[in-house]
Amino acid sequence: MENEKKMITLKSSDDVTFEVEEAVVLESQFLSHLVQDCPAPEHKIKEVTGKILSKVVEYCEKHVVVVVDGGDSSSSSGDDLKKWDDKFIKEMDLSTVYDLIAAANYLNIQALLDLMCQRVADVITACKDHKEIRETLGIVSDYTAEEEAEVLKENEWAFD
Amino acid sequence: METPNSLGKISGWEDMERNILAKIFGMLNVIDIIKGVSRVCVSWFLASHDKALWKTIDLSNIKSIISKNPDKADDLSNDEEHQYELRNILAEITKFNSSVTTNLVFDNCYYIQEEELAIIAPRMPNVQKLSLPLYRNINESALMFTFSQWKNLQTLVITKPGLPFSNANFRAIGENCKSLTSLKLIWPLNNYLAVQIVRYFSNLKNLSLRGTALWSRALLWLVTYHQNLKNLNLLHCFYIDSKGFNKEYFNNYIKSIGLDTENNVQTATQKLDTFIVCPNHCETCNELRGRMWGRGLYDNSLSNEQWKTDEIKELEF
Repeated sequence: MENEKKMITLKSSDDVTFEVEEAVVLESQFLSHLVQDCPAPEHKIKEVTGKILSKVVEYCEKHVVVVVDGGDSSSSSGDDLKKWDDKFIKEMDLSTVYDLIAAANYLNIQALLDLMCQRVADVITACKDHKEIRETLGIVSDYTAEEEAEVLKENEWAFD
Repeated sequence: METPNSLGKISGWEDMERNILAKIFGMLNVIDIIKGVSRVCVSWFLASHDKALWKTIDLSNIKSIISKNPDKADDLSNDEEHQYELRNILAEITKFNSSVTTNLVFDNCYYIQEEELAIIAPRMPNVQKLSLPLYRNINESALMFTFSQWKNLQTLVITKPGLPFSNANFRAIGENCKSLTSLKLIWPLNNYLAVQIVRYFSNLKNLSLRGTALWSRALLWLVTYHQNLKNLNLLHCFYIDSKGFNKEYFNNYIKSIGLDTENNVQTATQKLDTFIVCPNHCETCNELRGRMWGRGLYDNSLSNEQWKTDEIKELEF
C-alpha cells in the first residue's frame, strides 16, 4: 500500500477550490479521463458552481471511502452507505437536485445521477396529478388552454 | 419559477435533457406516466414516449395504484368500476409507444375479458412475454383474433386458476403462437389438459405447473408423448391420485396401479434436461397440506400468491 496519496485540486466556475485524493476524482468518468489526459495539479470545471461541486465532492469522498474500507464488503457498510445516501438527498432542496443532476450528467457519475433521479421520481410519485407536479417543480405549462383541453379530452377514452 | 443553474443558462425542469427525463420516468409506475408526467408540458409529453419506457409494461401492482388505498383494494375483480378503470388505463397506454412492448404483465386480481383483449392485442403486436389472468372461457373468436396478433409470443403464463380452457381455446393459442416455448398453467394437470398440451404446444421446451395439482397418470402421459419438452417444474405440486406432495407418492402410485414400474417413469423423465420436484421432506408442501384442509384442490393459494416465482428462468416475472 502506498502511503503517499496523490492529491488533485478541482476549481469550480466561481473559483472555489477543493483538494481531493485521486481516487475520489476517479468516481467521475469525465474527470478520470481529464486527469489521465492532462496531468496538471489543478483542473477548472467551468460548468459547475462551488456550491454544487462541494456536494459532488462530498458524495464521491463518501463512496470512495466505503468501497476501499469494505474490501471484503461487509453488509453493514452497504447499509450505512444507503442510510448516508438517504440523508444526503432528504436534506436537499429541489433546485440543488436539479443542479446536481446536471453536474452528475456532465461529470458522468452514474451512481450519483441514479440517486438524484430517484429523488425526483419519488417527488413525482407523491404528487396527485400533473398540476401538482407543475406546482412542485415550478414548471410553467407550455400547452395552450386549447391544447391542454385536447390532451385531456383525448385521454378520456370513450368506450361506446 | 425559473432558476439560473450552474451550467450558466436559465432553465428549469421542462428543459431537462430528454434522456434524463426518460431515466426519471423509468422509475415511475405506468399510471404516473400516462396520467401524470405526460400531461405536464410538451417536452415531458415527448419524453414520456421514450421507447425504453414501453418495452415492459408491468401492471402487476395496478390494484394498489388504482385505488391508492391497498386496504380497500381486495376483490376488485368483482368491482365493475375498477374493471372499467383498467380498460381506461389500457386504452391510454396504447396511445404511447405500445408497438415496442415485448413484456406485458398483468395483476392476477383482474379477469381479462374480451374487451381488454380487443384493446391491447392489435396495438401491441410485438409482445413476447405475457402473463394473462384468464378465468372463464373466453369467446373463441375473440381469443383467435387476440392470439393471431401475438405471433411472436414466446412465454405465456396464465395466472388465474379456475375452469380450464376448452379445446378451441387451446387451439387459438397453439395454432397462432408457433414460437411459444415456455408455458405456465395454474390448473390441475388432468388427462384432458395433458392431451391439449401435447397436441397444441408441440414446440414447448419449458413447462411449469408449480404449486398446482396433478394426476400422476396424466403427468406420465404428458412426459412420454411430448417430443420437445426439456424443462418441467413440478415444485410443490399435489399428486391428486396418490394424495401426496412429492415424487415418492407419484412413484408409489404408479407402481400400485400396475401402470408402469418406477423404471418406466425414469425412462420417461430421463429425456428432460431438468425435472424439478420437491425433496421428500419439503417445508412448503407441509405448510400447504395444512392450508388445503377443507378447501378444494382448485383453490391453490400458493400458485396464486407466487405466480411470478419460477425455477425455470424464462418463466420468472
